[in-house]
Amino acid sequence: MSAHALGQLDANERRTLDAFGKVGLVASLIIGAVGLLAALALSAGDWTLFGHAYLTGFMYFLTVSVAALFFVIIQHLTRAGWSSTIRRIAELMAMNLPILGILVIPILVLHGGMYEWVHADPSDPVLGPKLVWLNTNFFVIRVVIYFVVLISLAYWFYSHSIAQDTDGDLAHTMTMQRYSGLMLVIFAITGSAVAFDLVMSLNPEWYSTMYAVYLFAGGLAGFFAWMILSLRLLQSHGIMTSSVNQEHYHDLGKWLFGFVFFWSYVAFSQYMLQWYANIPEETAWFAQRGATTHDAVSWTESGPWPILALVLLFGHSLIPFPALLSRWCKRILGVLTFWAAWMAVFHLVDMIFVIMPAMQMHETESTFTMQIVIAVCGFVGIGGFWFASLFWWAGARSVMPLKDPRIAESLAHENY
Amino acid sequence: MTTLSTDKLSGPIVDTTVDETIERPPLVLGETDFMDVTDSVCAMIENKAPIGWWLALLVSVSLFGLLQVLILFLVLTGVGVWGNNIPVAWGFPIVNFVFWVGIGHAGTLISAILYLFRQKWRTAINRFAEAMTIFAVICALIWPGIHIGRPWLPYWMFPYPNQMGMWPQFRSPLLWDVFAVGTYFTVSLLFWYMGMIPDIATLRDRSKSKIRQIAYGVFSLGWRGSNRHWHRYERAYLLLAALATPLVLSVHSVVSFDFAVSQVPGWHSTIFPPYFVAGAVFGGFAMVILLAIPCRKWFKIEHIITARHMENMAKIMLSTGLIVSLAYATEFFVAWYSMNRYEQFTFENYYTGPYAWAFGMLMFCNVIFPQLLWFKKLRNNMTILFLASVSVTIGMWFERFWIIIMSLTRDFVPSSWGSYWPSWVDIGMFAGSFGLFFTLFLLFVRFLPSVNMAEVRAVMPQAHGEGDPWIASEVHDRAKAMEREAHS
Repeated sequence: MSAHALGQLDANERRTLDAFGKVGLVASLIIGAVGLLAALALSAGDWTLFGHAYLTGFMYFLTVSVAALFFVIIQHLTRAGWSSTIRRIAELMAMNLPILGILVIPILVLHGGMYEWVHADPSDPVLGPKLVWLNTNFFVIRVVIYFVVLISLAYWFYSHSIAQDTDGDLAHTMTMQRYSGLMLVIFAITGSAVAFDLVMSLNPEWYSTMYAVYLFAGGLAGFFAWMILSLRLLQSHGIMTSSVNQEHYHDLGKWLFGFVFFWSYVAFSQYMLQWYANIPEETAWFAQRGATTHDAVSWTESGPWPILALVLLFGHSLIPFPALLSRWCKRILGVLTFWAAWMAVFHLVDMIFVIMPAMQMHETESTFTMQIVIAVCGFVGIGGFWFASLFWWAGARSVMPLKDPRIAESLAHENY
Repeated sequence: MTTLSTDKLSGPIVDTTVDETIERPPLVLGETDFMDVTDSVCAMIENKAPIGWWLALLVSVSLFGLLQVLILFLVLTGVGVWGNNIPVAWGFPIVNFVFWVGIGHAGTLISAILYLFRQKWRTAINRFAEAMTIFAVICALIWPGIHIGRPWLPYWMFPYPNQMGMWPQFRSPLLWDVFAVGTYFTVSLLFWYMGMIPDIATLRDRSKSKIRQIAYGVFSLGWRGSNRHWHRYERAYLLLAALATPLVLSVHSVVSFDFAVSQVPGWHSTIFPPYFVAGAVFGGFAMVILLAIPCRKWFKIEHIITARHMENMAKIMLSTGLIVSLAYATEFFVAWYSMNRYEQFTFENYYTGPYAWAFGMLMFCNVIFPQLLWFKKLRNNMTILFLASVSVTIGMWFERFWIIIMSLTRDFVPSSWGSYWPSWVDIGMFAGSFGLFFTLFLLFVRFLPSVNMAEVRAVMPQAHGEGDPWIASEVHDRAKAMEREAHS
């Protein structure tokens, strides 16, 4: 706690990135370029492999940005006070949707080698009738619509918040509150459709009504992890050192814990229900990922995927759950940062688990290790551009909505 | 002391439903002090009951009597008196079971999840929502109890060492239900009773008759309101809130597993667990609103359960309703997308088959009518809000009817199709379960504190000293200063 009075802004605090932002922008761009080039080089002309790895990184950051947008909407919907000082970071992460809207282009270009339905036989009894929905033209149109909608939502909140920085008009807050309910409805429909189209259709025969909820839950865990890590990074560079304190971290830690739990709940429900009913069309998806107890899919047949499935189970659920349970783990910043970094890593494991095994439907000579390495390169590549965009949007602006009417409440926030 | 001084209530009238950015609206209206809160709440018990209460009790007890007679008739005759048949072995009893368990979700959501989210407005409504939860779960538990064929052997559902060498089937979600609902009932009951101890002590101290003094004295467990008592109380409350939170998810998830683990088209859907939970909260809030609207009027506690409380509940009902609507849409889309002919047929059958009227009813009551609550004017109109809650209650019952009856009457092979119609015993028992529910609830409002007086007092400005950021008086001044600065 700083020495100044509760609920009052510290006049000496830095709230702009300045030189750090410029260095960060350049460094991120270099990392992004190196990551994508490495993925390209390692996949050695195997566009299917590159496409899957790229999609892994892309979906990682898309889910995080979409979750950030959800966080912004929900803060306004509930008129939350505690989060005012940290809301701008989420707004900036949501404003990475435009760069993701550009980065989606390679997926649209490469989708022929990735999505099995592109080559489906129209007379196929299962895939044939689905081609009304799953065809290149309609797919591209839908993806464009999704991004236009999501970017518009993110920009609408961002522009109101930025405008308030200069005019301090309370009407901005009132407007955002008033329309946040409607925005959430638009968001929920678009977000579900994105999950079905971009990821679930990699295995076009397979379907799960829970799928969008699964990606959403994982994305929120990833988002809160990156929120904690970003704030720690900013504070280590002397930015927002007194406006964001242990109390905000504690609440972010609660959210992180909550979504570790929620992801586990959703993942378990989806798995258990399909495992229990044991319908071949459904269990095939889990068998492809080695997450099966069926004897027919032996260790040797499915390769090392069963190990990854177990790593995901323990790393995304069983280990962080008890670790984040205690109040102290969320209040000791070093410990919380460790678990945030842990969850940031395991969100990647989740995305690899969901996307990379779909490679098995295509002819590829790449090994399991190679697939994982290239997926990580894809993650680094997209991540570099994602962070570059984050630094670019932050620019010379304050990373805190200074004239938000609830800043005082947020500064005085206390968990009891 | 038992009459409420009306002049205290006619303080400055604040319209708390108007949203402001800086001001957090007061949770208790009028120039009310601690004593007024105690007086208003205790008056519900200490004053003479309004005539409406007696009439409602008469109707409820009669219906409850009907339920008991019909259960006796069922036990003596056998389950043939119901409309259940093959293929619809799960008829009204399971529809009603899921319906009542669902109603029971609002209480725990209010008392546990809203508590963890620091929603202080919950203090005015949590007590009677929790009571409603317990009564709803009691109503729910009757159905599987009398549905087991030999209702004198319900203890066979529990795993206990026995000389028959017989264990329950641990792989069956029906057994998980026994544990899930049992745990839920136990924790909810503990939470409700523990939270009531300080208020029961207040009633004990105000009681004039010997019987009341002894009865409330026994149940207040020697509460004297010492610092040590309060400290332990707060710790226990937080722990029970944390324990109850996963239960909000688990109970209806396990109920949904009863259906979703099977291969029956329309039942086997992975979204079932969160969709059932959202539906349960949706239906539960409808019931809380349904009970709150007359109660706050009859017992004159509109300054404690304010218009804003009603509006917040309406909003939660609307948002959970939208989640449920999104789940319906997802189910329909994926049924088509699956290209599984049985799934597709089942979903077509919903709106073209013999029960299309029930499906239409469900869509109107659950999806269309509650959309009125988007409009502030309408959701602040108690008549509209009451009608919306009635609509949701009907809609959520039909949702269970839709899932259970419609899927069972038309599964894979046309030769095994059937139809279902409830018998008069089914309908009588369902009506009777409402009798049980309302009897318990009416007795509750007259004999136990319906509003958590201790907690409501704690969210009033008087409970906080100067400079306490919780009520934000100091923070509020600063915010005002900042606002002036921003405008200048």
